[in-house]
Amino acid sequence: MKMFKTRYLALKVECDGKFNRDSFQRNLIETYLRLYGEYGLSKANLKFLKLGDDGLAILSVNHSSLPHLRTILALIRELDGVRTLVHVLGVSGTIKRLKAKFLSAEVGKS
Amino acid sequence: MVFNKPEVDKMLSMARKLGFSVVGLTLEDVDMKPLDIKPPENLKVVWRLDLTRDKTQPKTIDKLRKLFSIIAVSCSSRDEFRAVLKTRVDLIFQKKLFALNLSDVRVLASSGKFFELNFKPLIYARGFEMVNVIKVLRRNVELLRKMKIPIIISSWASNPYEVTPPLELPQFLTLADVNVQEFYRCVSEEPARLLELSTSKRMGLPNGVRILGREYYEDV
Repeated sequence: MKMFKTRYLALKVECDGKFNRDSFQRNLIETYLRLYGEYGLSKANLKFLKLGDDGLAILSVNHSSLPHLRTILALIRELDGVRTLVHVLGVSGTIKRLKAKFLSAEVGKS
Repeated sequence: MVFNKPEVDKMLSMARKLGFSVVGLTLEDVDMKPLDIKPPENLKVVWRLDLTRDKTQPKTIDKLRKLFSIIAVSCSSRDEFRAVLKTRVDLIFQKKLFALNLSDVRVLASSGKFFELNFKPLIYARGFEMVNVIKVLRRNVELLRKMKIPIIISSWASNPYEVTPPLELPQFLTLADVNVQEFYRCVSEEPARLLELSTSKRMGLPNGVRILGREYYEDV
């Protein structure tokens, strides 16, 4: 039995100005630490698998911490003074399925 | 609220992009009338008026109901909450977050009004203020769920980047230790039911009567 199931999230970050990858990464981790603490963040096993300049991102997280991560993403509204909205395009158990289902249309748009 | 039309247009196009099919626009001034706004394709706009306790006389509400789809009222304390439960409004929301108790929620259940939760305080609260917001939210959600109060979850967005995708709206309830999936109806079925009820009130239908459909027959 697989003990640590992973979920992959496809995100689209909409910004009022230029999207700053480092700022997004830092802000996400800071907000997670603020709300769920170091213990929570360690359990989440959060990884940034892809973070493009176009605002598309793929994150991986432990399946039990998925609701926590979605809460954090909903709470991020500003990155270094730039108004921001993080939109979860979809969640999947494999990267292959995630890309096929949620990212193919987004890549086509941009 | 100062109504900034270009900003509202941006909010509506963002809402459409995020997957909303109906969006409520709020006015807070009793003297204002719904503005002429052209929403994007496949997006319906409904107008809502937020009243304060002192403007909830039955005559005022009956007059305003012809103009607005939803009449809501704000309350900032438990006394105000108890007082507004006796009015004819459709929806109650807390302008300043405060803890409800079981008897408040019982009265709310018997009044048949909807209760609105919004997570804007969670976005901007920090430190001990955040602790208090989560504490009150957890208590209120537990009571509302126990008494099966119809809940509406809204974003209270005032700019396009505060418009939250519909499926992300109930996510903040994980902080109240509840199963978020139970609350998806609060962004779909419950708002639709609220609109349906307020429409039947506008048409003057008695309680318990619903319009299930319409068929028009021509006299032969």
